[in-house]
Amino acid sequence: MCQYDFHICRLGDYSLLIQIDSTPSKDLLNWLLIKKGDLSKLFNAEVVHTYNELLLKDCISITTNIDSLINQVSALLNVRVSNNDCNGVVHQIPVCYSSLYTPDLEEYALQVKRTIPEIIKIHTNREYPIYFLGFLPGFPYLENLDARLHLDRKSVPSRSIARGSVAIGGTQTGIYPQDSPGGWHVIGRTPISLFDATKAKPSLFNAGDTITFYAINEREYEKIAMSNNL
Amino acid sequence: MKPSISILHPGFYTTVQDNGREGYALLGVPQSGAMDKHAFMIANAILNNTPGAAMLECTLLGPTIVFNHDINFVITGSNAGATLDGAQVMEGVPVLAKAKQVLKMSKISGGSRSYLAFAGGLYSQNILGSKSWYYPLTPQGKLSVGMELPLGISRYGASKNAHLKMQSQSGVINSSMATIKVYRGPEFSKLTYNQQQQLSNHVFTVSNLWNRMAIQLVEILPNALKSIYTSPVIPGTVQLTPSGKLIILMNDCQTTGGYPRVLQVVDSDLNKLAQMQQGSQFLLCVT
Repeated sequence: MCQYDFHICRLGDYSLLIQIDSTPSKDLLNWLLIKKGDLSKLFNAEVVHTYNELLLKDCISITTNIDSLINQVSALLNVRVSNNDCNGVVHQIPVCYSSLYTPDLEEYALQVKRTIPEIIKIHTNREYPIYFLGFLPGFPYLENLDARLHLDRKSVPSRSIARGSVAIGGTQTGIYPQDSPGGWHVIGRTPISLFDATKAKPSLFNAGDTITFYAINEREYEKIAMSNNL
Repeated sequence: MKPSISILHPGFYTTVQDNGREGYALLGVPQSGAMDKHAFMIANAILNNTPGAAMLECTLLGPTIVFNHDINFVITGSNAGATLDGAQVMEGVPVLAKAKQVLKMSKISGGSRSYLAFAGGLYSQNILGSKSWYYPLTPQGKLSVGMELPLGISRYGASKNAHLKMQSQSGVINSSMATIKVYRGPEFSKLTYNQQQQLSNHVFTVSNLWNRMAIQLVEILPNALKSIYTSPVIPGTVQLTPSGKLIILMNDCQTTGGYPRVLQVVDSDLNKLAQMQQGSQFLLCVT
């Protein structure tokens, strides 16, 4: 059972923004996911959530009574949540931590003062909950990175980080679902496809799921990559 | 043979756009869609197309195309100096092109974007519910030489007596200085009184960083705002970076961002911003 204070304001002409008065946490994530489902059902609107905000997209038209809309949203958010557990999927993601795929790995190891086997052991030893998707289509915002692997982003971002790159930026770890410029340190690469716009369910990941990483060697990487392309 | 057009010259930056993607922001997918919605809607209305039919959005320099079929088309938005086999084509007036005729658009003036629409609309694969190009979500990012784009079924002529009267064409700005109306953004109240004053009734200039994702402004607003937890953003959100840069997010923007959101552009004024380019100036007006 939990309850949060919140503040509702408009974002632009058509959307409502709900700001939760709390720092990010796993409990808040579960609450957000439950409220997100309720809101999108009641208003038939698209709801985007982040660490501590909910955006109710395009829920306002010229005939909308804003005060009554806000009252309705508030009432819904104030309903106590009894079952606070969201059972997301656990994804086991193979990662090849090899300088063949990671131009940054050796430099990163020097900077965090760890050997590469130590980095692999620490990185694969945790479960990372997916808070939400953003930045790129299918990019998961993950929490719970071991403090020993924290490292500030690069001062000069890389022009292109390859699709599948597993990287570390500040206190976070993440996977790039597509080629993109980026300022994170790449420590490995997964041969798994994370986002396919031609599929009915384009994203492998959903908010509320959990990711674990396991190490594979270069041969295993090529084998999985080949079978994906068939 | 199905109606289509072929690309002889792609222009500077030409993309296929419709109303954009709805329902996928929660997966991090940008909204995309036509930047100047007003010019986009007028073009489809003139041709009696379905309201969201896809067309070409042309930037700075329009494309040259050849028609593979007799097709009605129209150009809206900024002036594109277009000719059909050498004869001048007026903006906002539908024209019947015969098969094998060549439409040449040139340097775009009066604004930065023109819209080239065809009766029946461009007919290509829907990806996540939209035909709008956004690479690598869609296989193409912009027009290139030799592409052939298929067209849909036209209903042009179904309402022969329809007549379109309009005062202004689109977001194209005729007066010397445009006014962009903005709301206070979620982090506006964290600015000092002085900083808030500097954002209202002041002139701002578009920098050389302007595209379908965002428009960065030249003027700097020094500030000590802390970055925020990564939060939702939408087209029209104005972000303030720690170094004082103001960034107006546009149609292809990310769905989340970590810079404070100091302003939010009034939706209809996004059409005006869509017609701006490097050096364009405007007055910000907080409502």
